[in-house]
Amino acid sequence: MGTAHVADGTAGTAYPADPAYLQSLIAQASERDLAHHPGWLALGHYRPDWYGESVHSLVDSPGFFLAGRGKYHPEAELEATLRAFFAPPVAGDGDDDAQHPQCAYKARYGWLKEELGFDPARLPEQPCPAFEEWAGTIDADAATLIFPAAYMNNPASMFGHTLLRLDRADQTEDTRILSYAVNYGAETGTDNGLLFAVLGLTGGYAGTYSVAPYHELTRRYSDIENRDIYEYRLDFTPAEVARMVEHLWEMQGQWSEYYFFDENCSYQLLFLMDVARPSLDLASAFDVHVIPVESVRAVLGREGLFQGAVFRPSGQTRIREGFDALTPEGQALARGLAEGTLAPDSPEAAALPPAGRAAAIELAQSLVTYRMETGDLARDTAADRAWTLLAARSRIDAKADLPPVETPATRPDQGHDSARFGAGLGLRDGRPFAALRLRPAYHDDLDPTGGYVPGAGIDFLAFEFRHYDDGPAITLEKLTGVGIRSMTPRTELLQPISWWLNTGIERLRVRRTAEEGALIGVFEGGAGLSYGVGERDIWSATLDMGITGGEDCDQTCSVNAGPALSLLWPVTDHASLTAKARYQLRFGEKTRDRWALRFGQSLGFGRGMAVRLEAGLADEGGGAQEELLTWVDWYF
Amino acid sequence: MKLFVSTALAMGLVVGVAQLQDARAESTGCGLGTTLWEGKSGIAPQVLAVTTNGTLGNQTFGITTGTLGCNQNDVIASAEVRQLAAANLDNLAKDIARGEGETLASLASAMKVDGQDQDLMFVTLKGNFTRIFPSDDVSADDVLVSIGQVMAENATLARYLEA
Repeated sequence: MGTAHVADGTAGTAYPADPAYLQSLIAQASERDLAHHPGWLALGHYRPDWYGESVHSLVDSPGFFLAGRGKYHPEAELEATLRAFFAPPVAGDGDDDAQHPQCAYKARYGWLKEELGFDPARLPEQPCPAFEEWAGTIDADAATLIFPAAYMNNPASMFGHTLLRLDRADQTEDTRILSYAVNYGAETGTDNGLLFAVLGLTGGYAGTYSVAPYHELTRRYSDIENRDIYEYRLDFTPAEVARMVEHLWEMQGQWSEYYFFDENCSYQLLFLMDVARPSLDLASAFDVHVIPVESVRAVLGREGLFQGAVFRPSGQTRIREGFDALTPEGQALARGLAEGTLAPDSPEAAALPPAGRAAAIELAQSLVTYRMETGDLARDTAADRAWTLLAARSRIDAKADLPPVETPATRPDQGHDSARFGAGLGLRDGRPFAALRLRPAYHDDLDPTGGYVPGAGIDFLAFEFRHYDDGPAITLEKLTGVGIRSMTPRTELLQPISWWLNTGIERLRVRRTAEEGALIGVFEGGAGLSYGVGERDIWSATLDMGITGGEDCDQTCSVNAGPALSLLWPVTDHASLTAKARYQLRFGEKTRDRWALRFGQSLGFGRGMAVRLEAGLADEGGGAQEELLTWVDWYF
Repeated sequence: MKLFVSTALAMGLVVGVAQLQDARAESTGCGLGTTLWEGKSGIAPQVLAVTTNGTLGNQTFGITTGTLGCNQNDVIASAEVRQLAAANLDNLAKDIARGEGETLASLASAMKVDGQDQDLMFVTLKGNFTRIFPSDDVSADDVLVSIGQVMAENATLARYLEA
């Protein structure tokens, strides 16, 4: 933050600021306990300690604090801030190194001025030309929360990301890409996954705010990553948005240790909203919910804050929907053009009416660009083909016959909550048991599909415990450490690979006499193809491989491989059916091959609850055993 | 068990790679991002000033966008216009070929073209697509220069070029 130096309180004699007035302001602030006002706590990113009454700031860069003890003492920081505001005017024309504390801490100044009613005669207000120029460029008038949803075929992206767009007063639906958006993230400087994981867990990265034109972000999310974006207009007043911009200014160069699980992108954006309107206290709501989509829910849940959502389809969605809207001739032409087997001036193209031809050419060009970005088409070929298509398109004097993409019925924020608790009853080979399960995140095939990408799922730290009527008090049935599924149907245009992986602990029934089964560790995965026959069903075939090992090692330790067939059919946003058949060759000391059949169906009631029924038949080495299980699940 | 939990946690982190990388800062390029934080020095302001020049992946058009905004060409373009064109050259090409679209509308808005003249601008640019994009190997700066030349030939559109 340049040299936003602390004044020592004995300001220069030539300066009209009044030291007595400083003491009076400090006294006033102390009397009203402004240091513990939600507004001041938000400005300093203060959060309560785990224990007791005290607070600490999440900001870790020492330059942020004017008081030496500022990180832990909001009252000391407030006093030091007031003192700094009385510093003599800086020389020069307001470039960085000469920034007055009133400018360097623009939002603090604005807030304290409002709260304490600064008298400009006794505390002259300093000009802040650098800030004014910067804020003028951003030109913010309103705020919109931006949520890039999961990408197809990348379930990891389900955790999502959030941004805050600073809208301009005169922008339209078409020109909103010119406005600026705030991102909070870490400069990782590495693509090394392991290093990234370790540093991300330990706060080894410095998180900072950044500001970029929205069109750079839509280019990344819509065009390159192919994520649909949901834009949630928020009801902040221009004055509140101005305070956000001031705070961004004072946060530049300041950083916090970035923790993937809590002090992440979403959390820090909430501070920005709390600074704008302290009564929201959104940061508290997020202390227990750390997933970006949950921060979206927290924000939208605040009375009167949510004004409406806009759906911005990704490049891939537009291609998919556009293609569906074409006539069969148009589809054949678009495919041929994209693959280079047809030319834009071919008889097939001439046979179509201008609007249909324009639509086919536009889609073909999108497809060429898409394939280049997914790496399926070399840039040289793609560029030449795209250019030829666009040149041909520019010669057609008609609008393309393409309907707008429809907004999905259920938005991600309307999907079920991320954490799940379930209670179940079941029978295993006639032996009754009760079961409990808990999963902090996130979504599996039988959870209600609304707001989620069909076929994509992540289970994270999912525990399941059982108590058999005549058995030990409690047994661990299963712990899914991480389970990821990505079953994406292939179409004529888009041909993704489906894949899944699972790592955790489960039970293997290797002997009929030990129905609790052997506790084993599992690491497995598979890849294959998925197709949809109807509108929503997904049929998948994968070839799986894995390793297992644990209790009764001679019978459980093995390398496994084999095929699996599955059906996932989210009949509606609330009801789903699944079926799965699996055979595994097992290579171990005394292991035998295993097979399994499993059916499931579920029915959701609102966002908060669902019931499901599962039936399985499997031989895991101890002969075929059946299992029937019914669950009631709550989402929270 | 302990090992498993920590393994699981570590894997959960990998899941977040995309998220953190969303915001990964590269070295600051030229363009508005730089001017936005003008006057700030040192590494930290550069992080804030970051534009995503160079991190936007390949585009079919425009391999030389890296220099955009770094040299003063006699083009129509403000920093805002240049940054839009550089980051979205493919989208701009498509919109010009179609004669409509948000990238084109935003270009017009950033060039301060009045609403009633925008249709004329769109039609004019569309009719000159192959002049503006003479090949698949153009830079955003070249494209902006050509757009300026095309607009200069039209009395109504020429007056928007002084900006």
